[in-house]
Amino acid sequence: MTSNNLLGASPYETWVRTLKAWSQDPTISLEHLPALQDDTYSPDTANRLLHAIIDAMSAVNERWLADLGRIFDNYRDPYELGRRLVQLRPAIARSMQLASHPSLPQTFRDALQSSVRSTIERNQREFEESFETTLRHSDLPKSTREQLLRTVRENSFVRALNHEAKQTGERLVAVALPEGVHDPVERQPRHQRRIIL
Amino acid sequence: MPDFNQTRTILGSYLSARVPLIVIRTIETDRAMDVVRSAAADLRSLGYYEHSRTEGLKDLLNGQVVEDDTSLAGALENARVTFKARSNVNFVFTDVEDIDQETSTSRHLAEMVRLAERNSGSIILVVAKPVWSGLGRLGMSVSLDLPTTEEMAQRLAEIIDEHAQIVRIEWQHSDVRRAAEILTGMTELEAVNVLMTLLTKRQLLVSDIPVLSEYKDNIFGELSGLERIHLRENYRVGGLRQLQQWLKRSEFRMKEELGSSPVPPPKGVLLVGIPGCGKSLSAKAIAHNWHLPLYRLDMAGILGMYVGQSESQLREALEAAERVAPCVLWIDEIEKALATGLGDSGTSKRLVGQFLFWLQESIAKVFIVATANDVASLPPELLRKGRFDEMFFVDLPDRNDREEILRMYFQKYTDTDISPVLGAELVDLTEGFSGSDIDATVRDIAVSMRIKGTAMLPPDAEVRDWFADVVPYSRSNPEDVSAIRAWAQGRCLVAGSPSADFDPGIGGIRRRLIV
Repeated sequence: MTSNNLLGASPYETWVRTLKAWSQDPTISLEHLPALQDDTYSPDTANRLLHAIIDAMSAVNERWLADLGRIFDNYRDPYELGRRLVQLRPAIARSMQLASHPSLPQTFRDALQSSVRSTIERNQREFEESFETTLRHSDLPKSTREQLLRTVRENSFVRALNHEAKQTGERLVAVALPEGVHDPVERQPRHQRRIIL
Repeated sequence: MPDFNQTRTILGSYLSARVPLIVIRTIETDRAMDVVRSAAADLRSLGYYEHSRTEGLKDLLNGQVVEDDTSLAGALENARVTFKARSNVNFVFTDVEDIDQETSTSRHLAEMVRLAERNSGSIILVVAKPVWSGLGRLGMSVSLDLPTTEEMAQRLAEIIDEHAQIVRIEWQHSDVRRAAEILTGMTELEAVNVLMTLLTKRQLLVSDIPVLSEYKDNIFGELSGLERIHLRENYRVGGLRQLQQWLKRSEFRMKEELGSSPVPPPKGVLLVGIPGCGKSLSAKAIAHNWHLPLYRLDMAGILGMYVGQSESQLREALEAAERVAPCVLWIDEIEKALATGLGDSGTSKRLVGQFLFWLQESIAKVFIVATANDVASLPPELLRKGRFDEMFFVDLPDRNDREEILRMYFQKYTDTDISPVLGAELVDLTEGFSGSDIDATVRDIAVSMRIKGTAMLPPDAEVRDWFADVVPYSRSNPEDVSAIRAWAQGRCLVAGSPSADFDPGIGGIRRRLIV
């Protein structure tokens, strides 16, 4: 969703207004953001813009962490935990979308992408460690504890970093959808085994 | 249940009909995936993706990994956005757990099926267990049966052909077919594993075929209600010539290819008669001579203390017998469980009904050798013509049979041939003896020879004394013997030597009265 009131008197103002709205509302589009070059702003202005971006990302991240906490209070079984973890991916994808925004200068993009990636990787790592500690002190059966931990690892947030996403963070179709005919497939016998002598 | 080709046809029709959920029930995931690929190849304009917990998401037809996310929730999220974006897309899931009841997983899948339905998508589940009814009723299902004998033979032939250059192959087409029959009941992968193990010997001999049964036993482990009888010696049955002649015909039918024949495999034989006359030994001899595994069904053992338990155990035992077919199934003292009487709340009647139904419907090569001593208690419906292929009465051996039995046991236990004079005397002395009476007496003589440390038979007089001291069953229980003979009169064929009026040239064996 793009609202005219996100458009400021200057590109800088448009960026700042949009970032503020984007951090509160996942439907806010980033498409209208004006292109910036390395030399568009003075270093101070560029720095302020960078901080605005990081603040917006932090706000998203804080809400994401709150959502994550709620999941752990409410999940009923390992599958539901996995499903909810997957549902948390769009927020990560949105942050990465902002960090990779083509209107940003390349230097900004590199720094922001690296920051988002390292933050998510750290979050995942810390999350697994703390979850493992919690489980160790729980009275759940060992098999359930292992299954839950496996679920957390299997549904890692890091995967969301590689997804192409819509403005809402919802992933785009990942599979290469076929149009018409596939390449011919040569069917091989499945158990093509030979003894080794 | 449908075989590979039938399942493929059914699946193809479901895909064409854009059924939003297709459940394929099978314990052979890889084989089911072959079915799916084969059906998908006919409908290439659709998109097909396969998800597994080991490889993530792949294009079904070209095998290319689309995403290595092994999470099911992740894959379903992927399916969700794909269904919303495109129509006519199919997702195949092979490792989905906890969907036999209402769970988070089954509910989520049900949501996805509804979404798929709105966009002409399909979710295909390959599962071993039934799915929750709330999910299953959203689509259609098909059960893929284990490989048929024809499929198994084709698969074995393919592997043998692949190794023909490096392994000496003795098997002909008929041997491959026999091997396939033995391995039928196993999964394709299990059968391939067995054959590959045999091939490592660098030769594949006809004598390897019975070994397949042992592999099959190992794979099946303990069979519910059945005991494998390991045949360790060269079982021979003295006398019982009519029975043995009849068995030759059954052996042919048991071993011939019946794939496209309307003639069912032989059902088996009921042996009734006087205790100790070779009924049980016949079961072992049949399995030994036919090179088939022998399983014993202990009818007394299947009787349970709870309502329905006996029926359940009998059903499991008969299903187990079908899995290990071709085989000989020895049902010893069948009357112990099937004798109908008062005071068992109808359990016996239900068991009889269940057994008769199985006997009639089963097309597995399970050759039954049922034995009975207390024939009067057997229900008449079990004895009706057509239940068993034939009923034989095993009477006490006649003169010719006794001579053959005597020579056989003296040879077996003492490694000597008795003189014609002694033989004739012993034939007279053993009037009324059963085969097992003769067996036990000759064995006692052999033991005494070993104690004395000699390989020489005792003097003829002493040998005669050994037999003279025996009181056979027919003398201690003459009423029982008369009763069994009276019962068998007109109901059974005589298993022993044919009488003078027997004409083998016309129609083989015919019934005769027992006098």
